[in-house]
Amino acid sequence: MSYMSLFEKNVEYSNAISILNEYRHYLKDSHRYKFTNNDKEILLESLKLNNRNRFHELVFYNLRLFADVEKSAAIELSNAINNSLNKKFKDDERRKEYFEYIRNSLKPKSSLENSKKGVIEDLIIESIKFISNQSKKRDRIKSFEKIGL
Amino acid sequence: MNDEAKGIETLGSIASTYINLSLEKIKNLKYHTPKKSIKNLCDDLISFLKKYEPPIDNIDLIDLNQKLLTISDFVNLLSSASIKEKVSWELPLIHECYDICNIDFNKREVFVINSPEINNYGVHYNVAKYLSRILPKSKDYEPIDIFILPPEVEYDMSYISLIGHEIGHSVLLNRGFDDKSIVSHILGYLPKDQDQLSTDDMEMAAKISSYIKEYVCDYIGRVLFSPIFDLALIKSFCSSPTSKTNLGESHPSEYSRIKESFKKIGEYKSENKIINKAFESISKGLEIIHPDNNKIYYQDTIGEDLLKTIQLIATKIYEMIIPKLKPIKNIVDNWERIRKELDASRPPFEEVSDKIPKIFKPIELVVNMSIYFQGNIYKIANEFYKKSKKEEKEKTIIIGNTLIKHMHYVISLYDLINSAYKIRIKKLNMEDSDLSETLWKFRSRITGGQPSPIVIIPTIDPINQYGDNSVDLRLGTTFLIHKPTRYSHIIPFEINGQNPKRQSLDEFYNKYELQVLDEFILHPHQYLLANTLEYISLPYDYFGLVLGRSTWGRLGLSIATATMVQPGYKGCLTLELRNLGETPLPLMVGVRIAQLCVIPIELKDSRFGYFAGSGKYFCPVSAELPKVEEDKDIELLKDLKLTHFRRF
Repeated sequence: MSYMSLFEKNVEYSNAISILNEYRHYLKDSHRYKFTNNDKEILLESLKLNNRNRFHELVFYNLRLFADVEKSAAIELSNAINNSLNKKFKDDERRKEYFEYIRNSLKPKSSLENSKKGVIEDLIIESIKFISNQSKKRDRIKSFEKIGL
Repeated sequence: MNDEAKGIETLGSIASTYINLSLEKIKNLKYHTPKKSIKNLCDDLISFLKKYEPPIDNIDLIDLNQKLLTISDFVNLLSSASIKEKVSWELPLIHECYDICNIDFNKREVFVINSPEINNYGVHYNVAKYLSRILPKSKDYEPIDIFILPPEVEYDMSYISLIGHEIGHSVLLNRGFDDKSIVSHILGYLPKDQDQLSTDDMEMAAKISSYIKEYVCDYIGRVLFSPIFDLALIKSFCSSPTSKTNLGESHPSEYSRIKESFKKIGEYKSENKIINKAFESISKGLEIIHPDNNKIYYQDTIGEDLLKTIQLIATKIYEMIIPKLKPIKNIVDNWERIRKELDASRPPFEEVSDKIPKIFKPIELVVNMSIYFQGNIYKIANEFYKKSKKEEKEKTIIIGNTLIKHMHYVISLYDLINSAYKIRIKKLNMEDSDLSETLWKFRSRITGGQPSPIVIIPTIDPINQYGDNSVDLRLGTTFLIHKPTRYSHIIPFEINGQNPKRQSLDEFYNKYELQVLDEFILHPHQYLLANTLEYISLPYDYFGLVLGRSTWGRLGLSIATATMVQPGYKGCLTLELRNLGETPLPLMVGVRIAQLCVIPIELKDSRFGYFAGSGKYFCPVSAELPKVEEDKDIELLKDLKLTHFRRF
């Protein structure tokens, strides 16, 4: 399945980057790319994933995503956002704080200070770079991954 | 223009380079694919790219680039799937598997990619959904499934059974995992709450879910093709086990998977003693590669307990899926019937008799033909094996290669045969029909206590095809068409090694495969080789003459110049088509184009039949190039060393 999982993975990366980029424009009140309700849901789902403390739910989540290509970006998003939060803030409290800001920004009629918006935008850019890098890494291991069935 | 505007312009120009590259690729696919559904997808991708908002910063460019990468993968996939000159013989097999799994094949477009990489099996189920963020959501695309198969399926009968695993993926993707009872199983079996999940845990969760899916797919493959699925899995894994560093990303270890297969093969029992004996012998032969007897396989690193839990969950999911599949009959029910055809070196389209023929289905063909060969059952009564004077090893290779070709041929024509069976043959009333007055009755001919039938298979439309002394033959699916070359002429053989410029005849022909009902135009004076759709099997005391049908002859079509078919011949016939008229002739694969007349000869001994000699054309199922270099007469002329004729 190597052949197809690489394609599927690329789709996942592309979807995740696309959602983050649309969110970035949405933060800036730019309507260049449409940030749909569906995208919001996927992003919210990815934020929820970080809070899941039940391992079996996570396994089930993975199984369920198997049949839902669009939502499967949630795991990549979750990983990437976590990574950029950890990179940006050493302090756990600050991480949680910004985590909440992102969540709130997705709610209808949310109003965030511009300074916080700026920080979130940086975090999102960092997350996009993280996913893009993962995609390149995966390209490099293409020739080694050879699992047939 | 300010700096920002200049920057945006630069980004726009970078983006348009990549977009244009992609557009070119998509347009190329659209131009070459014969499929409407794919042309439709291409149109929407073109429209998406043409309307794409140009990037205003570097991040937009990254976003665009990733989308283009996905589109490029997608287009590559569709190109490999839909543009090829070979008909996918596997489609009827996939059709049957889908039917069993309650996936409506007729509402889908299914393609097969023949990958050059060994062990490369895969499936993309409903590919358009991968581009759901790019393609218009309002549109209802026809589902397109793409199966990827490795080259070994062309060389071994059993390997195709591993497609059962990929069918399993289709089943899971078709069904999804939203069933609440599945959740309760998972919750019940996995380790309970952990306080905080780390990235490693997330990776582990992905790994566990992936392992579960793979095991379920093995179960589904097993239920479709058992026990040949297990045999193929073992053969496939033992020849290229995954290295330790690559182990366990998304698939459980080969160790755990084929251990189950060894167990299943060891336990396999049918009601037929010969099959059971064959499996005992296969089982013994496999001992040398049993995972417990050597260390080439690596075990999973996730721990034995967790692996057992995963297998248990997979079993539970499988048990929930199984009742939703159509019941599968005993796969070796038709063993004796199929074996009779194989022993007679006939492609097993149907059970040959003068009754209404019983046709065989693709899955049972894969399983029974694999057992026949892998279990060495051909050594008991195969006509060629018994009569041929060739070396044992050579005979085995010939039988193996012939069986594979025959299996592909029979499965590739299954839709035609099945439709003909439903529409024409099943309703036949043998007693009321005049068939018993025609050559049809020779299908059950016995001479000297031995079967010596005249067989023309597959049966498509016997009432209209059979006459008193002749049978109509249809235009087959393979074509060898002369191509322009830079060589001045064909040099068919070497004489005294003095023809160093001699080219293989392959250099002068292109091979094409078409499907039944495909049309092509034979231009005035064009010459090509084509096969008959029917496989002919003559007894040793009859020879045949192939003649054109007058309907086509009057239009200028000549079908053969070498019209005699040797007594005992087995195989499809190669026709030499030429349009002698002045007007292009439209021909259609499957149309009745020739007739075979059979003439008895006085011969009372069958010892010198077709297989005892050194016939150059061995049970072919496609148009074949002349094997002039094997012509013994040339050897004779060389050996004569005629002194007055030294020109050569």
